[in-house]
Amino acid sequence: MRFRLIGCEVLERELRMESAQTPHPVDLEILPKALHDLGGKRMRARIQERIDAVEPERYSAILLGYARCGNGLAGIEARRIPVVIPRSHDCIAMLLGSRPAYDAIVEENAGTYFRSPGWVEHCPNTMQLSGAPADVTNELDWLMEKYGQEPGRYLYEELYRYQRTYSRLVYIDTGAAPDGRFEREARREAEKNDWRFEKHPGNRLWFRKLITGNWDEDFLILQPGERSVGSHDSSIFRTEEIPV
Amino acid sequence: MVDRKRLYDAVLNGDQKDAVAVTEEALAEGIEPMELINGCMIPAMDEVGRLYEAEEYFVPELLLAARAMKGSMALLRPLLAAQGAEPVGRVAIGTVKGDLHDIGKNLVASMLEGGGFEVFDLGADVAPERFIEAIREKGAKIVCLSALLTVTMPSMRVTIEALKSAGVRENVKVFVGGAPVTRQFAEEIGADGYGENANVAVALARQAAGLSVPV
Repeated sequence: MRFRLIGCEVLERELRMESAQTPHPVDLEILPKALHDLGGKRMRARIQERIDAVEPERYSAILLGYARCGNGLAGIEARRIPVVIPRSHDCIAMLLGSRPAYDAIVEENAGTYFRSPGWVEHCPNTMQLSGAPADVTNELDWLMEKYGQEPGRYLYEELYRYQRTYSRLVYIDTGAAPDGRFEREARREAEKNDWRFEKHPGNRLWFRKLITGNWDEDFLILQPGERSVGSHDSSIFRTEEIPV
Repeated sequence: MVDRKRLYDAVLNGDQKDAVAVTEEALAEGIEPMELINGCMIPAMDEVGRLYEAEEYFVPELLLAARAMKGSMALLRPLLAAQGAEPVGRVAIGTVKGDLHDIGKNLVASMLEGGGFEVFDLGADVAPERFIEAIREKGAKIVCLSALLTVTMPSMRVTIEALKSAGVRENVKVFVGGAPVTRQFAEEIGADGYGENANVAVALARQAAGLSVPV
């Protein structure tokens, strides 16, 4: 048994930690977080492209280190070998270990901004709406340069107004950081935005179950000829036959 | 004589200062507010929408164009009100309960306002009761619901159900939008329309208000 794991770089550290401890070999392919910002349709196309590039005879299944991700994983098709997808709306619940763990935090305060080692490492700027290239460190300067001083300021204010709707930053400690650097960065971010900082323990169980092949009710298993469809109940995904 | 193309260009290029300046000049020359709206601003916003769909414009350009239009509308609105002109429609808009994402919603609100609608922006994390209130007390005939998370999309269904229970569902058109929302979902929950982007949202509202919709 050999698995092909295709996952998002935001989860790379957790996926690698669990891949190292599984009895079966797992070949890992990491895709950029930028897919998340392309919108559902284009994200799905890019992931499907990577699924279709896998040599089916070499693997027992393709595992996806993703969640539903704003419908980026809705419409994924299994062609010749099964494709396994976590039944989670987003990776935050996966990093926390369960949906109830996520629900409890959000019910307590919907204005919660989440960070994890990978979310700090790969997303210094969470909003890509300005269209600034990834290497731009000062978005305000970039916007003023491109659109002029006053319009640039206005755009920055509009694009970042969302920050005022949050009041707390929860850093999920999944045990996948090399040291305290990501936590320190998250603390700085909370302080800068005047959010309360809280550290919550993460849990890599969801990743472990995915990678060891322990696919319980937290996973959608697409058999060849099936595709994923987003559902609007607690199952998150259902399957349907791919029309011929 | 003022060059009306300048107002069109100012909106298209998101130049609020110029939009306001040309509007002032045009009004001083006695040009009717409705003429400016229908003849310059709405065509400009249509072009903005087209450029956005062609991926030549991005969110910043939309925001600037909507702001330019709003700047101009701020001068025209009092005149329209003085003439006894009603707004083209009244819209209650908000991000649904549990969801705090509001950039898309703000953009649609700005563009609707620019298009002559009276907009009641209820903000983010909006409970169904507040939409009902806006319908009953403010006379909103169009309700726009936004969600950015698949986990909060069910709140849209809950909101529509609440409108039914309150007996106001039949009085309004309900449109939904937001990155993960689909046409199929909109149909499933009994919405009257799905706005794939801000541009479509405005077109839906215009259609609901009985205005012409550009092809």
